[in-house]
Amino acid sequence: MTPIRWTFAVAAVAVCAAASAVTPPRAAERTKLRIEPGPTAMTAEEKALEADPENGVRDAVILVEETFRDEDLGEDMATGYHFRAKILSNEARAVADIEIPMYADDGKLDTWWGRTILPDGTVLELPKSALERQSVAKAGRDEFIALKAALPGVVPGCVIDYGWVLRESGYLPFDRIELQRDWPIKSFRYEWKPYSQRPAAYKLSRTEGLDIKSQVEHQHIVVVGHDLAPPVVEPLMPPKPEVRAALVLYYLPIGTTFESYWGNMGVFLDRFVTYLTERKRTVKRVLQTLEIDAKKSSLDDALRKAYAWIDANVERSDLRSFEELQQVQRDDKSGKDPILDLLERRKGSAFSTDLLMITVARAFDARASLIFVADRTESLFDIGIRAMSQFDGTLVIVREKGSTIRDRPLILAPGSGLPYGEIPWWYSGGEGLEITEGGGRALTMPFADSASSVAKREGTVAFSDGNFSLVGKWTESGTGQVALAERRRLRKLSPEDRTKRIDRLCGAGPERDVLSAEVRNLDDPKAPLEVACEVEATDVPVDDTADVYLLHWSGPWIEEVPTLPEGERHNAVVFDYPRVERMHLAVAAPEGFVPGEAPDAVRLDTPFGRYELRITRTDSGFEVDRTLDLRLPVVRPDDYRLLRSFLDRVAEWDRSTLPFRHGEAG
Amino acid sequence: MRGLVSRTACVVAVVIAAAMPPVAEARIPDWAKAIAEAAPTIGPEIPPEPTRVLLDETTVTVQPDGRYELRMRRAIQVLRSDAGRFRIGKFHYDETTCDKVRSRAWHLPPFGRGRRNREDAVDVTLSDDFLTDSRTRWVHVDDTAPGSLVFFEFEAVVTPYDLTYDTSFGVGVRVDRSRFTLTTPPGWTVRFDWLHADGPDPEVRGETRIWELRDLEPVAVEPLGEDPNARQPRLVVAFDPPADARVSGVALRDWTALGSWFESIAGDRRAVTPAISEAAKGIAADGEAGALRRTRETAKFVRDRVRYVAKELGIGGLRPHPASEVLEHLYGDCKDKATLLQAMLASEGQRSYGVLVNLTTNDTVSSSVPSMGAFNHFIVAVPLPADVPVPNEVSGATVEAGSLGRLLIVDPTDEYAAIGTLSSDLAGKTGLVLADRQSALVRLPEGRAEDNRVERRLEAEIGPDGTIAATLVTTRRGESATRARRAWRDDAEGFRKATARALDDVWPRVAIEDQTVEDEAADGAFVETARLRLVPLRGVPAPKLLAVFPGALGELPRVSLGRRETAVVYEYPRTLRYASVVHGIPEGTPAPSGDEASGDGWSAVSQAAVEGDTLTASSEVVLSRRRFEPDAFRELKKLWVAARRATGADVQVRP
Repeated sequence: MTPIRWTFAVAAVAVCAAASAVTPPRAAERTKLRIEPGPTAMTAEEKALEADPENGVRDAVILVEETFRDEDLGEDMATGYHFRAKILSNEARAVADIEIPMYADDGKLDTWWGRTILPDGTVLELPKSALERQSVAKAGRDEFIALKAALPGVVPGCVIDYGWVLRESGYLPFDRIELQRDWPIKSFRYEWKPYSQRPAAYKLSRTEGLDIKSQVEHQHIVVVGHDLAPPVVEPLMPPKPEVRAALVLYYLPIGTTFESYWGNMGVFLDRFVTYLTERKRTVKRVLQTLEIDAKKSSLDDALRKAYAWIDANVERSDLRSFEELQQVQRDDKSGKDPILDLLERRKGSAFSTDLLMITVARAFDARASLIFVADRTESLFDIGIRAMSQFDGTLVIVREKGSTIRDRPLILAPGSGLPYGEIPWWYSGGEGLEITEGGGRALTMPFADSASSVAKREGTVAFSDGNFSLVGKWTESGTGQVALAERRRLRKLSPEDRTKRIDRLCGAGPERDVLSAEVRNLDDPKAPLEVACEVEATDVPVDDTADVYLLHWSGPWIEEVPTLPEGERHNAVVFDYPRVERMHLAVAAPEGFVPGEAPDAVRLDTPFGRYELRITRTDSGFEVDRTLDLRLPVVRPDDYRLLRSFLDRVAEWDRSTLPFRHGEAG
Repeated sequence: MRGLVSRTACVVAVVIAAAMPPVAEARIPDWAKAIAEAAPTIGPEIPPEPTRVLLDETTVTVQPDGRYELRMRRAIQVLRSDAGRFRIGKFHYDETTCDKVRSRAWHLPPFGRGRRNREDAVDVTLSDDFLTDSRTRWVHVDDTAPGSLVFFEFEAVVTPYDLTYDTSFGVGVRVDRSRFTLTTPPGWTVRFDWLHADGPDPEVRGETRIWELRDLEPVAVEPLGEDPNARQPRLVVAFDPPADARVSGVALRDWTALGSWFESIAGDRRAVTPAISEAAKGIAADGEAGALRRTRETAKFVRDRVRYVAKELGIGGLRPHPASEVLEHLYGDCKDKATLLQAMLASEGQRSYGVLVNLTTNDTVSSSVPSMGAFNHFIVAVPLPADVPVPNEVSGATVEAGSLGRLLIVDPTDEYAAIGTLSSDLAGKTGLVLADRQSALVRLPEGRAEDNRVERRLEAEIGPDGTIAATLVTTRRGESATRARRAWRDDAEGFRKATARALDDVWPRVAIEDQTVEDEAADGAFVETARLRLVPLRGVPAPKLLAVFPGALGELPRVSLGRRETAVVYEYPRTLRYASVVHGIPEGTPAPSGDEASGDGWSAVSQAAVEGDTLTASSEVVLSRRRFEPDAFRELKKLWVAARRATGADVQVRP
C-alpha cells in the first residue's frame, strides 16, 4: 500500500502514536461506510433558518458535513462524503457547483446522490449520469480528473444535499482538516479508519469553547462537532493554524509508538550530530582553522570566535543575494562531510554552520546540540503531533558542562547576521525541540528584549515650491531584529524589485513621490542597515490666508502604530518582536509663517511600552523627538482594552500638530 | 551595493563566455542552432529583465479543406537566475478543435551539451470555466542558469470554426523578433488588419505571407495603467477560400456574415416554451409601467436567478444552451443568460438582439477583417421606442445604432451592475449586434462623469464635551455602485472594515455605531448609511480640527508619478459630490475658504458658510477625462491638488 500521489508525504525519519494514539485494528476488517443522504424534505428547523448577519449567518449554513474515510481496505481506500446546506444568498450558490477529484485510472465513484430541495418542497434530483468528467492534469498515462456536477434550480432559501462514496488506491499519510469554515456548521462528523498495518494517531487542536468531541470506537477515530461558528479574524492575530479548530490525522513509522516518538527521534538525531561533530579529524581541523586553542580559551570565547568567523567567512547558501545567485556554479555540490566542506569552500547551509558551532562547543565538553524550531508566523510546534514536518529550521543550543536543565542555555543562530546570542524573531515565542542524548525535549524559545532592537530615524521636513509641496528627508537605521528580515528580503530581490521595495520603505505611494531612496550596508551584516529617503508630498495644502496653520508632523518617517478595533478580542495580539523606535525630526516653518507655541511634552508609561514626545521650538520651526518602546511581543485578550488604549493614545499624539502663525520670522 | 553588482556581473560574463560549448555539437534542431549561433552575449551589468525572447514565431499552414497546421516556436535566452517561470513552455489549445498536439523542448546550457527534454509534457486545465475543452500544454527544461538558451516547439492540427486567426505580438518580456507566417493553398485570398499599433505589410513569398516585428519592449502592469493586452500589437488575418471550395470553418467576408453565421448556430436556442412564457408573465404581472420597466425587471430576474456556471464543451464554447434548459437549471454562462433573457422578452413581444463584445481587452474589433476571436462575451441589446424620451437612469446604457434604432444595452451576467448602467469593462467597446442581415458593429456608450456619481451627505453635531455625533450617507451610482456592491456582497465584514479604516484615516478613532446598506435601490444606487461617534480620549486634548468631507479623496485614487513613464488611465469618469452640515462649532469660527479650479477634463469647486454655530459646506469634483499621458502629469497633479483643496476643508471644533 502506498501513499496516494497527490498529497504531501510526511518527510522525516519519524517515529510513533497520538495526543491520542489509535490501536491498530484487526487487519482489513471491512466496514460499511455509514454515509447516507439527508431527508428529501426540509425539516422545520431548516425551513426557519434565515440570514442573520449580526450573528455571523449571512450567505449559507452548513447543516451537515460528514466524512468517512476507510483506509483499511488492503490496497484501497474509500471516502464517503455527505454535505447538506441551506443557501441564503446568491453568493452562496456556488457551493452547488460540485467537484470530486480523483485519479482517472483507479478512482471509482460507487455511490452518488445530489438534490436541490426548493423552498416550496419541490425536489430536483441530479442523477449520477449527469456527472461530467473534466481533465485537470494529464502527463503520459497519468491523468487527474474531476467529476463535476452543477445542482439545478439553486435559489436562496433552498437546501442542497449531496454525497458520494469514492474508492481509490493508496492512503493519506498526513492530513489536516479544518473544523471551522467561512459559514457556520450545524453538524460535523469525521470518521477515520486507519490502515491496520501502520500505527496511526490524531490530534484535535484549538477546540476550546467549541462543541467538539472525539473518541476512538472500534479502532475508528470519530470526531463530532455541533454549531461550529466561523473563526474570528482579527488584526495582529496568531497565524491561521493557531486559531482555527483542526483535526490532524497521520501515520507513524512502522515499529514506533506514540509515547516513544520524540525520545527515539532525539536519540537518533543526537547520534547523527555526534557522528558528524566529534570525529577527531573534524574537531582538529575546526579548531585549527578557527585558531582556537582548547587549552587556553574559555567556552564563551571560543564560541564567540567561531560565531564571528562564520559571519566573516561563510556564505550561507540559503541567504545568498540576487547578485550572488547570478554566479554560474560549475560545481556547487557539497562534499560528504558538511563541516569539513564548510571549512574548505566557505559556503554552506544553516545546518552546516550549526554543526560547526556544535563541534566547537563539544570540544570544550559542553552539551551542545541542535534545536529544531518552527516559524511562528506560519504555525507553532505542537509536541502532541508526532511529526518532524512541523519544523522550519534549526538553531544551536549550548549548555555548559555541569549545568542543569533549569539553567538557562545559550541559543545561537550562527550565520544569521544577528548579534551573538540572539535568534531570528520568527523562531522566538513558541517551543522548539531540543535534541539530547536522552531524546527530544520541548523548550520555549526566548524573546530578546526591546533594547536589543532599536530603529533610529533622523531627518528634516520643509516646504518647498512656494508651500506647494512638503519635502521630507531622513535616514533610518536599525539594530538587532529591526533590519534582519528586511535585509534578507532586499538581498533576494532583483535590482528592479529592490528599487520598488526601497521606494515603499520610504513611503512611496499615491500621496508621495520619492525623490531619492537608497539602502546602505545591505551586504555587510555587521553594519546596521540604513535606508536614506527623500520624498515629496503635495497633499498638505497651506492656506496662505489663514492666521494659523497646523501641520501634522507625522509621515513615512515614523512607523504608524497599528489601529486596533473596539470591542471584544478573541485572540492574542502578536507583534513581530519587542523594539524601540527613536526619531528626531527638524520641521521648518512654511514660507510666510513663524513657529507658534510648542506643545507640552508627553510621556506614557504602561506595561506594554513607553512613549515619549518632546517638541522644542527653534528660530525656524520645531524639533520633534519621539521614542516608542514596545516591550511585549504578545498581549493576552484579557489585556486587549488596556493595550488598545495605550496604542490609541500613541496614535493620537502621533497625529498632533505643530502650530505656525502667519508672519515673518525674526 | 553598486560595486557588488558590477563585480558579480563581470564574473558572470567572463564565466559564461568561457564556458559556452560549440553550438554545432549541441543536440538541438537546426532552427535552434541558427538562433544559438547568433545569440547576443550577455553584458557585464545585471540585465533589467530575467530573459529575452530571441524568436517568437507562429506558423499557420492552411490545407485545402480549411484545416490548418499550427506551429509555434519560441527561443529564450536566460539572463538572470530569476527566470524560473520561463523554463516552462506553454501552448494553449482547444481539445475539440485541435488534434495531434506535439511539443518539444531543448536546453542549451552555458556548460555542457544541449539536449532535448524527454519527460512527458503535461496538459492542464487552467480555465475558470466549470467544464471546458481549453487545455494548456506545459513542457519544461531543467536547471537553467544565466546564459542558458531554451527552445520550445509546439504543433497541432486545427479544425477551426471560422477561417480567421487573431494573434498578439509581444509576451511581457523583451522580444527580439516576433513573426507570424501564413501559408494558404493556391487561389485563396488573405485579408489582414493591425490593431493597437501600426504594423508592416507582409513579406509575400508565393502563397506564404510573413509579418514580422522586431525589438518589442515588455509591457508593464501598473496601477491605474492601461490594459497591457491593449498595448501589444494585434494582427487579425482572414483566409478566404475560393467560392466553390468545400471547407470546414466559415469564411467571414464581412461582419454581416459573422452575424448570420452566429444566428445559424444560436438562433434556435431562443425558442420560447410555455415555461419561459410563464416565467416572463410572472415578472410582467406588475409591470404595467411599460416596456422599459418590463425589460429591466426581466433582465434583473435573469441576472439574479440564473447563477453563472460555464459549460463550454465543444461547440458549446460558442453556442448557447437552449433557453428552456437554462431556465429549468437556473444556471448558465453569459450566452446562456443572454439567450434566456431574449427568449423571455420575446415571449412578451419585446424584440431584442444578442451582442458579441470583448469584456477584457480594448480595441479587438477590426472594421475590415471580421473574426470570432475579437469577442469573449455576450450581452443583449433591447430596442427602445424612438419617440419616447430615454429616462435618466438608463441613458448611460443607451446607444443609437443606425438602422437598428435606439438600443438599451443589458448585461445579465454582471450580477453587480444595475440594469440600465454599463460597466466600465463594456463602456466604449465595439460590439457586434446580431440582427441577421442587419448585423452591425456598434460602439457602446462611453461612460460619462455624471453616470458614475458618489454623493455623500454629512450631518454632524459637536457636543459640549467635544463628542461628535454624525450621520454619513453615501449614495453611489453607476460603476461606483457596481464596485461597492461587489465588495459588499463578496465580503460584508471586509466592506465594513474598509469603511472604518477609510474613516479612521480622516477622523482618527471614529466609532461606527451603526451601518446599513441598501445594496440596490430602485434607481440602481448603492446607499450606505453610517452613524458615527467620536469621543475625545481621556488625557489627550481633543483635536482642534475636523475634516468636513471625510473620506472624500478615497474616491479619486492616485498613484506615485515619481518614476512613472506610462499614461495614467482612470477606469471610468466620475463625479464626486459632497454636502456637509456641522452643528455646534465654536462661536466666531471662520468658514473654510472656498475654492474653484478647473483644467482640461476636470473641475473642482467648494464653498462653505457659517451661520451661528452651524457650518454648511459643499464640494464637487468632476473628472470627465480618463487618460493622462506622461506629458499631462502636471495637469494631473493640478487636479489632485485642486481636489484636495476642494475636499480637504477642516473646521475648528474647539477654541
